[in-house]
Amino acid sequence: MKKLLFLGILFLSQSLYAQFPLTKDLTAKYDLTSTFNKTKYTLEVSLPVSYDASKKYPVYYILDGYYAAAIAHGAHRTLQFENLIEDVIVVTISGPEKTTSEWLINRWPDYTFSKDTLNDVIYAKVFHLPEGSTVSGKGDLFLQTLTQQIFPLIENKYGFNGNRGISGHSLGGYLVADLMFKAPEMFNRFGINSSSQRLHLNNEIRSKEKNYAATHKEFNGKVFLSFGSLEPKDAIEDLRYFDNQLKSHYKNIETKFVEFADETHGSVMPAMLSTCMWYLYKKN
Amino acid sequence: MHTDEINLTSAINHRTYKISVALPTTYTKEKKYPVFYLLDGYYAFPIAKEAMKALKMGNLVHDFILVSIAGDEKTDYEWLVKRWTDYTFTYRARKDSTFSNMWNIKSPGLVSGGGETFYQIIKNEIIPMIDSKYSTNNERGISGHSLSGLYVANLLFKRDGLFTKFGINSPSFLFWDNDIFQAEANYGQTNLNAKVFFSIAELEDGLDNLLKFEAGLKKYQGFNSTFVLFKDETHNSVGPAMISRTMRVLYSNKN
Repeated sequence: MKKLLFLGILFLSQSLYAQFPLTKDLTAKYDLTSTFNKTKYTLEVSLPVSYDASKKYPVYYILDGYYAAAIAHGAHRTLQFENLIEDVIVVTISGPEKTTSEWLINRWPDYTFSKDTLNDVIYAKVFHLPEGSTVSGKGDLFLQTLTQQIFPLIENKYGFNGNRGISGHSLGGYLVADLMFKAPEMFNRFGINSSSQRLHLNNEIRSKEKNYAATHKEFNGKVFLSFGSLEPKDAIEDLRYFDNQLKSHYKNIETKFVEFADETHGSVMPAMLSTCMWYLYKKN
Repeated sequence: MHTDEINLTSAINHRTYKISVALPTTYTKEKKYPVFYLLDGYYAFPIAKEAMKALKMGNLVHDFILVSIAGDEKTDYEWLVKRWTDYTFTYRARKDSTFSNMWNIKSPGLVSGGGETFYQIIKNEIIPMIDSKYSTNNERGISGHSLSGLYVANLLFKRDGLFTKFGINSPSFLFWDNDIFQAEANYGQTNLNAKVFFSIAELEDGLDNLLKFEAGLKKYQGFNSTFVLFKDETHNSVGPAMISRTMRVLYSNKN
């Protein structure tokens, strides 16, 4: 029946949505305090419309919940209207921030594994943040929080099938690129969007990738990479280069690079969150 | 960002509407703001409020108040039934019965043609309520997608100047027998004070038809439009990109 419905809609190819038993109650929210960095995190969850507690699902984690949460969970719904994605549990992770300045400060240590004092100083100025408020290099504590507190909370509560994805934007995109080589088994879906990776420590991600490629000919993963077309050309080309490296070094990797027409670093967020989720969890 | 949720039960059709409001972060009663009304608030509001935040972060838009209009639906099924009535100006008995059967909608099924009633609710109940609670000016925009995109297109020809900005996204023109062209033919004015954002997704039908509709409006004084085709998007996947771009174009801080 459901299939017929979709056919009907596809024929019309306009206008209407199929019915689903979805209620807004298929969402949940959890607060936790990290025992590693003492930061308070909020996890927001949206379940697939046909969620069945006896079944197992992949989990897709999205960084920067501060702005991404409502859009990501909204996109999770719009993508299901047309049955475009497989069933997946979407989890957004945000810190305790209430303002954009607090958010910028909070994400800085979490999304960087290496300390980069020069960038810390530059970006405090660029974002008009207090001197010394951006301290990079605490990514390991965030990763411990993720693996030892966030994963168990989500993956024991819901049916989890062992497959995780993660995506981020800007500094969050850089963290995701880093995770590909730091913890290659942890995730098998990656979203690297408008990544700031070239700006950090002389583009050290390139050497991390190169070192990994020296001993690995395969990478079990699907990677979505994107930029807005109005972002700096060198940034876009840098990520395209990274994508080409991935494709040439690992025979089984699947990647897709998208340049969103007429979008800036900030305006691209809604389109990027939706398209990234669609590609990573595309229904075959 | 401050948000409010207001339940309004209409004295006109006795249905309850959930009105969600997001204020600019620097909102102050000392200033007066334009208001952007967004239909299909059921799914669109969470996306729109964060997209507004992201657009402000990038300094791409000027301040406006976001107001989304939803029914009291709790499920997609209820949403589908309610929007069918509110977002259609013309009654199509045959379509009502065909789709009630196809979607297994229980009696009385889908009932089209409530658009004018819904317009009276917007005009006489929702807008006055918003204007009394918030510091607003007289500039209003309205946007919709799919069936609500068709609805917004109909509002172009209302002649009352209530709205001057319009978002018409993946509208259900063909699906509703293209009667929007008749609405335009009946308009009978030479002026159309409207800034319109049109969009459609690449992976759906209706591009030519929508372009034709836009071209037909260029004869009016006061009309200006932007047309965007979203690459590699479907009728529904386009939602987040479309909501964000509508606001960015209609509330651009470049003009």
